[in-house]
Amino acid sequence: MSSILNILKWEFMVRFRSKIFLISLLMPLFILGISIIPAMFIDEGGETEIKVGLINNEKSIDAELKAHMLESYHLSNNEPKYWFFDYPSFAEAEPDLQDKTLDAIVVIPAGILDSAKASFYARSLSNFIVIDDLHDGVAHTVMMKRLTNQGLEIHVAERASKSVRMETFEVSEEGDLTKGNELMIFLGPFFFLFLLVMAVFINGQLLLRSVMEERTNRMVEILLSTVSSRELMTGKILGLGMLGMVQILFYLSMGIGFGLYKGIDIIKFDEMPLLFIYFFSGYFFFAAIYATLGTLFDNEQDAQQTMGIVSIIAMVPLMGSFYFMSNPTALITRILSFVPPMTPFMMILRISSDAAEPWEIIATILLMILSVWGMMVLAGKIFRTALLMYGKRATLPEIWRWIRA
Amino acid sequence: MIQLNYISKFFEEVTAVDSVSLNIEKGDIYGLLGPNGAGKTTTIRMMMGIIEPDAGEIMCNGNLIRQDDRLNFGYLPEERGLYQKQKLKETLQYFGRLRSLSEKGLNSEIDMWLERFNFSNSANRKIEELSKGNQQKVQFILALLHKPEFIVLDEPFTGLDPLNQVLLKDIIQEKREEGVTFIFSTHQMEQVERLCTNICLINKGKVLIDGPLSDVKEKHRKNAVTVRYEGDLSTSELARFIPDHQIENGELTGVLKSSPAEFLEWLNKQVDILSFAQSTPSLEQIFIEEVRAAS
Repeated sequence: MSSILNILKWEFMVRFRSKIFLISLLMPLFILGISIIPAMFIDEGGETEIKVGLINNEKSIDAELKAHMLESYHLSNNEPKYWFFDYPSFAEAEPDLQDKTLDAIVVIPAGILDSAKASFYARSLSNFIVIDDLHDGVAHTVMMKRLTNQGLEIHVAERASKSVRMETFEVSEEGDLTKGNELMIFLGPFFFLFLLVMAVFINGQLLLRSVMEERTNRMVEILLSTVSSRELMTGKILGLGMLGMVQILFYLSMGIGFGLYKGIDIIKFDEMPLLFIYFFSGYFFFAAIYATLGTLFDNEQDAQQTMGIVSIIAMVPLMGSFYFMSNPTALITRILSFVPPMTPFMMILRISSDAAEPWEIIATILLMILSVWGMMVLAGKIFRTALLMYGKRATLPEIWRWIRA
Repeated sequence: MIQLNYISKFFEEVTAVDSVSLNIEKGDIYGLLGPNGAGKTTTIRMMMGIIEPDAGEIMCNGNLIRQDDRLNFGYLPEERGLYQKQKLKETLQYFGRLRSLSEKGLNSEIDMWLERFNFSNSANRKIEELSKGNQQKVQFILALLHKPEFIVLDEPFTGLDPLNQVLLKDIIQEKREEGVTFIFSTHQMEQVERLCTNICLINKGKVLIDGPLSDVKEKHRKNAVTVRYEGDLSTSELARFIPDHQIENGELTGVLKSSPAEFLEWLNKQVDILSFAQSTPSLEQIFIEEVRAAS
């Protein structure tokens, strides 16, 4: 036992202090950061005024359009967001767009009430919020004009064209209502799944590298003259499992921080114990595979292909996550929840979508305990024999013989 | 005391070790010799508990060897490696702890060995910053650190400069005086002749020779003689003692058929003997001769 503890501490400390660990810890945050931060800015709509060159050949809607835009779109300091400058033609407006006096040009042709077609020009079309605002503004004004032309009064037309909005709420078991945010409803389960996949694979690969290193530098001979192969494997798997815990806790605290900042409940604390149960069962399952792969290959290039196959199995829940979240009780979702390599990932998705029955949770946990036990026994048999094989790659019949031995 | 009783190891169709029996007494410096692929490393690995024998048993101090007994073994494998990115002292601490050294004794023991090997200023350096020879010394410390009763050294001198070879030999002798048993596996015959008390020669998994070094040499002492004389030896009677002889410039060489005493008595009557010498083969000659004969 003390040997396992010593190996666990060593594996944990060696990896914890390494630069690779720091990078692996920050990399997902970095990836998440570069994908979320720009979206947050877009969400805010951009805090700058937009100067629009307007070539309006349909004078009948000119005043209405400008009034509507002035009324509907403001910066946070209540200043108007859109400023319009009239030009007689596109050719005269274009130089001002090029020298950045203007941010955009809108051309409204005569007869737009019938043709229903306007044009938008900008140096780049990436700011879709500006395009949306101007499109909505022109469309609304044209619609109002058509209705008033039919004899409706403006306030009647306004009321008739008002669209319906639906607010969404999530009801908790205690009956509390949380104002829904569709993005976040998807983000929460996805966040958990991403966390689990990252932790399992980062640590699985570290484990593989660690076994491979000790095998190729022959430290394994000194280790095996002191501890049994079972103690060595257990110590390593537990050590890197602890490292995975640290990663998960780090990401969770980041998630909680982000949730608090945005005022959203990303993390549900009552789901935490289940999250850890599925993390550990998933991690142990894959760790047994990765530790074994470490004994079968002499370098990472050779191991890459087999590692790829293992990763793809676990990637299925991640790749199909939006389908599984939208259809958490579909037959395929339920079936995949009972396929051991995918079980932890599928169940994390379903539990955080509140779509797993209690019996399914109990059954999958039992299934994972059995699968992990079976996998560890298999891995132990291969690990013990393959650890000391040098220069010759084990063949499948050989591996089969070791398992039966 | 370690006893190997008829141990065998098979790798599929290959018999790596074939019913090997050895008796290694406390305080012996035991040389395990043999050509490449003879089964030395496999025998050592079984002794160290890294692999299990398929047949036979290994005894330690009179009882079947257990996992706990292995804490009493130190091991320097032939193909060496260390955790290159880790610090010297931390690596030694890790292995000390794995071998159940108490936290208190651990650091004082490490400091003592670091000083002895001139590593005091390198304790916090990464292993990769040390030269190859120095890394080998670190591995030697790893084998000694936990004060084992038995130390197995696989080619301990290769790659060391003469000064460090002397340092290693001094430590081996010191430890031997403390009652530590050493088991060597090496190809360097002159080291074996200088250090070992006993040897065992293995070929193709089988023991060819086993016993105290002096006995082995005595057994292989050849009856090859060289005699320098004055007088005339052109007698057919000489063939009775040395059937296949050569005479050149008053020097007779050949292999004696009779006892040296009988031959000398006869020879003394024929000529004036200036010198008479029997040659003793070197361990290397014994090695080559035995392995060739077995093949």
